[in-house]
Amino acid sequence: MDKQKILIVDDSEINRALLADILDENYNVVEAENGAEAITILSKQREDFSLLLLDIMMPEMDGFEVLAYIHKYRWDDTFAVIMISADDSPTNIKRAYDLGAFDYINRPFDSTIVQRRISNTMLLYARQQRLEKIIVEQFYEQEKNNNLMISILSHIVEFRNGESGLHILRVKSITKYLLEKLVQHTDRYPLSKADISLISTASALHDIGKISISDQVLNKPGRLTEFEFEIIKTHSMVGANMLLGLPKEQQETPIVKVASEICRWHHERYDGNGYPDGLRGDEIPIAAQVVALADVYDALTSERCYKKAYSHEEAMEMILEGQCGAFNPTLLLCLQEITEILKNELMDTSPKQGDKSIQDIRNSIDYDRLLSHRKHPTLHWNQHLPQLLYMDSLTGIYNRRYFDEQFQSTNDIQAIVVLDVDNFKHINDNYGHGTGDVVLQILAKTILSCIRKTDAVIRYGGDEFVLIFNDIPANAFEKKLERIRSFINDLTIDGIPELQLSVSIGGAYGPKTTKKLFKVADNMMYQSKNKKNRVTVCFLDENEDSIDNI
Amino acid sequence: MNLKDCYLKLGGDFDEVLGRLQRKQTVQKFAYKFLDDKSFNLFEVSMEKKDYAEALRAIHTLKGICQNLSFTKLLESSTVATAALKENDWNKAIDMIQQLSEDYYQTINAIKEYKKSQEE
Repeated sequence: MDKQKILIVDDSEINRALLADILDENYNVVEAENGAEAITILSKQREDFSLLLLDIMMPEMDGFEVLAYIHKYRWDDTFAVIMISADDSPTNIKRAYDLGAFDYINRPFDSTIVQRRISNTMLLYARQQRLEKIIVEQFYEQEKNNNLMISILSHIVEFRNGESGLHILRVKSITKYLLEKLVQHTDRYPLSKADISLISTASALHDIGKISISDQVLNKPGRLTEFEFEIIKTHSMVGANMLLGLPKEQQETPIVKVASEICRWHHERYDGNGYPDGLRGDEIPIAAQVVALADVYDALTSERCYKKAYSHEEAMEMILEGQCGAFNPTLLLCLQEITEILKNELMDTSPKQGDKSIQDIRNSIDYDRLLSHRKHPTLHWNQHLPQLLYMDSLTGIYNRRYFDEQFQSTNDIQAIVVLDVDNFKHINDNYGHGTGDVVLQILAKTILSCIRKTDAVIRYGGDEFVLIFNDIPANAFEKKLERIRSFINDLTIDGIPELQLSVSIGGAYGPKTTKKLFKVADNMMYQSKNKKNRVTVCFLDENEDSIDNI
Repeated sequence: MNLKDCYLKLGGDFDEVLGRLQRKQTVQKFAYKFLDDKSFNLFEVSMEKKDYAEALRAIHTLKGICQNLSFTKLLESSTVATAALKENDWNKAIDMIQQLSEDYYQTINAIKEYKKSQEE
């Protein structure tokens, strides 16, 4: 095992050497002769160090300044700082502790004491870090399971009425955003972060009562009769009663309490014209008020068996005009203020878990919209399955299976692009496969950032990517490819500044089959490959094979 | 001349330093290193230039080294000078130069003499 690394910061060469002499048998010792030099070393490789021995009185930047800097940027999360000084006045010692020092060693140095103090500190720090890691892992595992349970529940409840399964997840997100805005606006509803999280989680249960409604009524495509509507209306009370039927100790948990309120009162309206109890104003618990608004907004903007989807603007107008009943005016204000989030982010409801960087990429893919191309669009019960099936595990973008199964035999794609990394073998051979992988990940991220949510990027194999476009004007298509090429050409890889990335791009545009477009794009890519770092596009029309090559 | 005699001559505490650093070779190595240390010189030059902040840093460093090497006599005078400079008592610091210089050279000369005896 590598020795742990210690940084000694002291302006006296003799003192540094003395400490190094005591420590270098067991540790890897690095020296800095003033505070500024220490900060420079740490800013480059702070994660390498387990401990910092810091003198107080030094030129350039003294020990207190170094401590304050380290503490400000929370570098001491990963290493401990022990002060070493000849000045052992209580004021100095207290100040050092206040600034985040872990311990204080007085001069003169006693080798046994120094060694013991340091090894104990290291042990304690390592143990603390290990425990923190365990807690974080457990927390995420718990979160993962909670989210999974909620998505399963969403599918069960919504499976029956043939809806997307995403309604519950979206209501949950809108509820969270509305509540976060609400607490910024008013202190009338004293909600902590934990309360907000609790309410948004409980919101997933708002429609559980619907399982008691018969299929004929629940999934009736046309307008409901008054009698049928009365049946639908029972779902709120039924849902609340289902929760009331839970064993007493479960009923008393905060989540069940909040969920009961939401189930029962998420169809109440602010003016008292809702159901089942006709509560008005703040008689309706805030959790139910918020979920009611989130529910209405999402119902309006989604397609249902009895209606088309309204646009965000239309939905907002209908809500603000009171067409869906009266809501708390402050909440309406909050809804208006989260317009951007509603329009952009809420389309994406992939679960938040797992590897952060890959997750970022995954989150930027709108699977559900893209999967509307699917041959079998009614597989509600395994909606998340395609994410794993169709995802390239290295880059987080689509894999070849996705292309083969979803596009290969279709004829409604406007343009296909084949993109190949120049000299990829050279990168792997000279910098190792690890660097090759990083390059592919960065490229995937860069390409994703250049395309629209409705376009798709696929890792076709090795270092070859395929891009699919629809509804894009010819000149915009060409410009986009040029932009991708130039973006990639400007990329630098951390630690390998000399590595110049480039790609050869071939595009095919026009009303042809996917197979044909792919073949032409592939040929164009090979044309670009002759000179490398090029874009070659072929525009095809109905009759001719190609009308323009650039 | 052995190392203990050297410490006796420079007014230090050999048993104390050996107790802490544990090995005679280590004590000797750092005593030799002290011959090259520039702190005292920096202190003198800074005092002359009336750069008291720099003088304080230098004498403070010297004090730390003397603590570590148990150079008791030089430690005492450098402690007094450090305190004087910390309290902005320039005159007292200036008065200390003479004493410091005597103690410093007593230390240096004892080490040099010891070193020479080892080389013979």
